[in-house]
Amino acid sequence: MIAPACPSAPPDDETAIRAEGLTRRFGRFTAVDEVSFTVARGEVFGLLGANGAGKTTTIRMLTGLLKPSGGEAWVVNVPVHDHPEEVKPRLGYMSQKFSLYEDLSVRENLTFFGGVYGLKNRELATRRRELIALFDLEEMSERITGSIPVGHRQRLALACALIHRPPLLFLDEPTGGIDPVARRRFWRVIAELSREGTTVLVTTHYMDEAEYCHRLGIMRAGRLVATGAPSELRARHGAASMEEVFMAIAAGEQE
Amino acid sequence: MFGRIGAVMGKELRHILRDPRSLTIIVLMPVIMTFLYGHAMNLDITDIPLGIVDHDHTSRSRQLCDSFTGSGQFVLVARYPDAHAAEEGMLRRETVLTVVIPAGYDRSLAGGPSRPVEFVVDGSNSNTASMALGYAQGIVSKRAVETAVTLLGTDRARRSDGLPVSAETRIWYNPELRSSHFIVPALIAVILMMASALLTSVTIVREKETGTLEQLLVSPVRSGELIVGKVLPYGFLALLDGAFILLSGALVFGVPMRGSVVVLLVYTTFYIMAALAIGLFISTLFSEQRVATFGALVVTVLPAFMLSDFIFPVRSMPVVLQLVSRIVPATYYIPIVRGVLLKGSGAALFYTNGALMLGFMLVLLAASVLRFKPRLE
Amino acid sequence: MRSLRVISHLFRKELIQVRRDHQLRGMILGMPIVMTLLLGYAITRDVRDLPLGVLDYDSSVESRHLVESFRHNETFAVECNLNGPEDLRASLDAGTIAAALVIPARFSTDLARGSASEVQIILDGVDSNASLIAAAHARGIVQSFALAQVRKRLAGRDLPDLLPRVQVLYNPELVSRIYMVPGVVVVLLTMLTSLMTGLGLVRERESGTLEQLSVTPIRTVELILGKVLPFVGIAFFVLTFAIGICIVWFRVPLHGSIPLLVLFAFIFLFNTLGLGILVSTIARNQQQALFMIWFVLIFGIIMSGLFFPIENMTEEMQLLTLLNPIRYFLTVVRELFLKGSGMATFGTELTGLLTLGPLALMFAGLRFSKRVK
Repeated sequence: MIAPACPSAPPDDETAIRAEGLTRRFGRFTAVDEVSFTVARGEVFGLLGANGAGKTTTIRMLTGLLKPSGGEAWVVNVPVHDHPEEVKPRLGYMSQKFSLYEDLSVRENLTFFGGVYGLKNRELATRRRELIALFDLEEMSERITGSIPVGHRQRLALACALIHRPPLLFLDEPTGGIDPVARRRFWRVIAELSREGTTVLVTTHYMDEAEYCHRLGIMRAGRLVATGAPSELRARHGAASMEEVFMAIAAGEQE
Repeated sequence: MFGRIGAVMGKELRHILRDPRSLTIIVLMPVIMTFLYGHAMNLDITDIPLGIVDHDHTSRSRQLCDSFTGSGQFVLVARYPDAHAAEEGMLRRETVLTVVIPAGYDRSLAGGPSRPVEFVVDGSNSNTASMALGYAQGIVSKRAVETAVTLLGTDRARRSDGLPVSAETRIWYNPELRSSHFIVPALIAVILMMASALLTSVTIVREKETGTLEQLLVSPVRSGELIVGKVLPYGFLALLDGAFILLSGALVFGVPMRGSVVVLLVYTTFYIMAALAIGLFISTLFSEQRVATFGALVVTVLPAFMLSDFIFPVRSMPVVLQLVSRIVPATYYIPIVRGVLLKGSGAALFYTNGALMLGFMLVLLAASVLRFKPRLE
Repeated sequence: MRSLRVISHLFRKELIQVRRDHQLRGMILGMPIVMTLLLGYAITRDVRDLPLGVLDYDSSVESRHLVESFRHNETFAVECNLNGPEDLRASLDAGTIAAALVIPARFSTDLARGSASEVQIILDGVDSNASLIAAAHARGIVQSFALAQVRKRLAGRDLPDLLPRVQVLYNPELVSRIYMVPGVVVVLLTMLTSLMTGLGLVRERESGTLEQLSVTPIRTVELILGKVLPFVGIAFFVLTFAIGICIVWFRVPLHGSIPLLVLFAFIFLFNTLGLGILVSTIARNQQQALFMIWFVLIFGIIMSGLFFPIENMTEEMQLLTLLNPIRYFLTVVRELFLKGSGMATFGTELTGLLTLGPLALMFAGLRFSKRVK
């Protein structure tokens, strides 16, 4: 059972992200197959699915890292599939690997990414101090990134993605390998950002994190098989948890 | 035990065949090197660009010019009006040597006032310059000698050049004077060292990096078996490489095999064992592939190429480098190859060399084991 | 300007990384030292001190004089006296001597009688190049000896100067060092800049930070400049060091103009940087990059004329070297050091470098931006 495609809405100010029939093929393998969904401004949208479902590929197409084989990707009305450069100053990205400079200190990483996003000296210094405080990195600020615990590295990666106060945040498996306490803290930050108006697109394979999102898109084998708010999806499939929703969908597909 | 060694060897061979790096060194490099040395690495100097300044303009001076152009060693590229112009030509890299024949040369040969011929040589490349000078002096001295004989007044010449003492030079082992005969044997040493030492060190370090070494150490494979299994395939492949270079040298460039193949094989095995031991030792020094590669290159290939008497004579080097040369296994192996190939030397001449290579291997093996063991505990 | 700020941030980051990477530092510092030592001291094709064995059947005053003249010549080093033809053969076979002088029994008697005699010089021809040079020297020594004999007999009569005068330009003592040492500049510059650029870029790819950077508003041009400029800076530092070493330590004077050398170095850098960038688009990790660059450089250096003169190569090979930027830069460096040539003599080199450099960089840059997208 495949969820009906979202009605093709005309571009407007309230839609921050719009994927229309996004497709990506690698040779003969189709990683993402005609994925369409929208994300409203200030929404936290979660792309849920098992490893290899196509979540990372989708998010990379939306950030302009990957050119789609078919379909369109619109981010704040900018056609990212054609002209990703225009939207780059306005988005923050955090990859699965927490791509940080392992041989630079926490502070140096923040300084660098701030500078790359065009922050000038005083502004940069202020913002850096803000983020270090916000993410509780004071103790580690002079330590070399490669040597700090993974939980702190995750916070640093998020801080670097936020340094230029982007209205859009793309997070790819941001909580991979992080302990539950840290994960909860992380989602609190995300919720706060969303309240302030930041649009957040997250991918994850942790079912329980689904509850933190306003809306979800469930991906399976490259296809978007369901979209909706968590409560909606649970009701639709008569499930008590996201896991059960998943099982139900899987079972449904096999019929 | 042999079963386990076999298993490790099999895996290693599969790795080698799948890794573009090992394939490059084992297959591509020998082929390219062989091709290169025949066409590019040539020390034989011919067709030396020559300039002439003739102030005499007599038949004798023209004869002298002709003996230069007809010598087969020089190629006349320019006639200059004077020595100054010749120097400018040299600055423009037109000639290596210019012969300046002074006015009155003709008369000087008949007993008139002394008017020696002058050579202006571009000394930049001292080797080429020496060669050019050698040839040129040979040509001019014939004339000089005739003059001396005339002045002596009597034809005492029983020898063709007429001087009281003459020299007959004979060149042994390489009468065709091919530098390929000189380079091929030593090239084998370099390639063997690369295939054995470089590759061995890098692969072991790679296993350390990826963590698969740990995995292996936890298995029933004993560390000794592991080492033997990993290292032997490189040894065999190195041997194949050596054979390839030898064959191509013989077939394409006519490098002879005047001695016994068996002797060469035995000593080559010693050399390879020493090289493998070096590779092993290097792998215990580094934990990162990047650095291991670099270190291996500097410690194995570079000395084998530069400090082993390959092309550059060790005896001309400062003492420090001569000492370093003593601990480069290639220094002991290259004379063996050259001896067996070109001089037909027997095994007995090289007992010390062979013993040194074996000793080298044992020392490094011991050192590696010592360094390896603490890690295992 | 925004671009400048971005580039300066990249520059600073790069320098921090280089400072912190101990192993890279070891390579940067270690390699120049090793290469300098080797090129300056080990690489020589000078024929000197060849061990000579003497088989003197005559043992007279005159024969000993002849041996003396060999001893005085720096080409040969009189090693030992041989016992007979067997000894001679064995010693040459074993390699304890590289040459042998055989003086016949009737040497002194022949000289006294005024008849001619002949000595034999046998050379180990394995190194054909060296033996040819040695043979020429040996003949020269015997000839001088003979002419001295003639002079004695003509006592009173003036013997004109029969041997040609020799004027050696640029390297009067004919030492390899003067020719090889400037190569230090070339080798160091080539290796360091291509290695550092290539490794640096691959490291970013490996750690995923290259991808992170491509999400930022940074432009490809800014990225490349920001990564490449610090290495250019280091390159000039190395250049100064190398030139200094040549002049001060090896006492090889630089006769040509330094600005000209720097200009050519700058143009040459386009090539090495292009190589580094190109390799970074092919290699998947630093170690592969190291290997690839080293592989290319080995052949580049062999075919550059550093060890083996280009004139000795076959026609086809010589044509191939026209595509080798190292060949051009090496020629310029050598000529500048040895002869102090001016720009006018470097027509070919300038053309070659100006063509190959931008081409290399363009090709590499294009591949790089395609990968990044």
